[in-house]
Amino acid sequence: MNTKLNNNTKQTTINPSKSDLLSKIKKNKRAYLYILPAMLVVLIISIGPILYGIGLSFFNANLYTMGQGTVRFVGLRNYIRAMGSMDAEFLRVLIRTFVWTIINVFFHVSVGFIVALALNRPKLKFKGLYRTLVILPWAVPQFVTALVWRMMYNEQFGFFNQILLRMGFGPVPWLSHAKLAFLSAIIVNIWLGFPFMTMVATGALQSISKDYYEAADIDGATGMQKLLNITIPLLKPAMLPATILGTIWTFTNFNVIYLITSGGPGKATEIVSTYQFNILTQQNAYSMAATYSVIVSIILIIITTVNMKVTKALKQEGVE
Amino acid sequence: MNYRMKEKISYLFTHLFMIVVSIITLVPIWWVLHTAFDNRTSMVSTELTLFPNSPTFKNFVEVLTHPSFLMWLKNSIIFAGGTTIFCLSLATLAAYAFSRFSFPGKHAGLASFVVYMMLPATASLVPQLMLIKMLGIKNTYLSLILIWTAGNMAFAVWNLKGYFDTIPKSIEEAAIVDGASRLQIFLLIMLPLAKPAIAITAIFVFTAPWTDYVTSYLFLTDGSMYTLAQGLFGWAADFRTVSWGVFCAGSIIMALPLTLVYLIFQRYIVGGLTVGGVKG
Repeated sequence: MNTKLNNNTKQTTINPSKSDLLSKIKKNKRAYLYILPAMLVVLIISIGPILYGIGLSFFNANLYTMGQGTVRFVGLRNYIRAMGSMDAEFLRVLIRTFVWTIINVFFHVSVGFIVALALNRPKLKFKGLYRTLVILPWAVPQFVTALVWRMMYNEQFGFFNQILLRMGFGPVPWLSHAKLAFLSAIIVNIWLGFPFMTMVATGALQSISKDYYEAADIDGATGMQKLLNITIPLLKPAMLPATILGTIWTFTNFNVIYLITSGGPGKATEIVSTYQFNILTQQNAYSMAATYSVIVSIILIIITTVNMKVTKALKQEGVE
Repeated sequence: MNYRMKEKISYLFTHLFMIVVSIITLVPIWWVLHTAFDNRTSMVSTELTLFPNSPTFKNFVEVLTHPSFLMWLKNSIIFAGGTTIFCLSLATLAAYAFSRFSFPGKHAGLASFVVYMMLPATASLVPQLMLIKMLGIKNTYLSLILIWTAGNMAFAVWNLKGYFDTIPKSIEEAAIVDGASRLQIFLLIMLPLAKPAIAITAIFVFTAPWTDYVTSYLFLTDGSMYTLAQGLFGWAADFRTVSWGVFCAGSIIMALPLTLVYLIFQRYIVGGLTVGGVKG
């Protein structure tokens, strides 16, 4: 409020209103010029096809009808069909995707943040070594490590069961038991995902001026007080966008489930992305796949809108 | 004295914590290395050793003389390198504008990037395939460089904007007083200051085409255009073609460029350059 008032008075007193308007237009022109190339690529290559895909969800396009030239408008039929099967397969897949997302993002952010805090301790030795080791799950191509994890989960010869065997425990059905297979995939995804948050948090931690901590030390603040009143508020601007992205990535994650369990056993670990992929590639049901995409998108838009509102509120809090 | 002891103990716990985390991150990687350097041809073994009993490079020799592997490697370098350069050139400009200018449509523009990110890739796959066919660029490097650039743009812009936002405006204001133009400020002041964020973003953008096999699986039908990820996935799916050891050696070669890129850029990731910028 105060800063706004100051700005207004500044503008009216120092600049005549006409030249102010002109300079504003000039400034905007440059802004649009800077943004245009990025926007054009996204519009033509991504948003255009997505809109087309949304359109497809109102038709009956699949491999057969497209080959026969009998693609026609079917209105909301696909949506009704999706809702009709909601009580069965799709709803279960959807709920599983929510559980998957919440557990993963929680551990990505919390583990990533704690590791970043540990790495940021000023007198920590072997910092570079630790940082390199911690970043490895992110640096090594995901699909390689996912396949390695799958191998380590192998019931007969896998690393985990061999260790357990040595300790006198029987083989654990890591990937063949429905609930355990889901847990196994979550463990892999936490392992894969937390280094990203560590990197984001580390970058932000290093940009925090030491002066804040020195001032807090003079005032006799405890470590916890410094964490809550300096570190976390100043990390928010970097961590919240990362968390929103992490949520979206996890919700739409494909590789981990597909490579580790392929959605199995049965369809016990199928999440929306793998479910849609199977509809698309195995059944070639283009319109149905698009319909599921639209439903998922609506859910994600709702989640993100709520997230952004929270972010905005927290950001204002951080500024004060 | 007492304070010193306390600090020592707390650092001891930090080390313990970091060692545990490091071991957790290392186990699968150790497993791949072990297999790649192991003389035995089978993936599975009943004995557990920290290092292979008779370490050998024969798996690496075999994979590096494999003609398909070398072709996949070349394709992946072109796809990932092209995507990184193209995407970052566009994204830094846009991110700077989003961070520093206020203009009508700014929030809508930023929001549209987020909305785009929320749409699962499957929504656009079929239309994107049609578009690529229509443009007559199916099975070309350009086709997937465009697809991956668009796919990573939102993340790149958001990540860079977030960093630009943390750079104090006082630096720019000083430059404006000195008579610098906006473009000069962007190229000579903001870009150098944003090096850590640009480095991190570049690594992320590079990682996407380098490790993505679903997109190349759907878009590339010509075997001579296959990427490393695609090729290795084929090997992993059918171990009658190559042994686990050869597959793991190939995986390590695929992972190595990323590790090198990380090491080259580590300086920028580590350096908190904004502090020096304000003070200097």
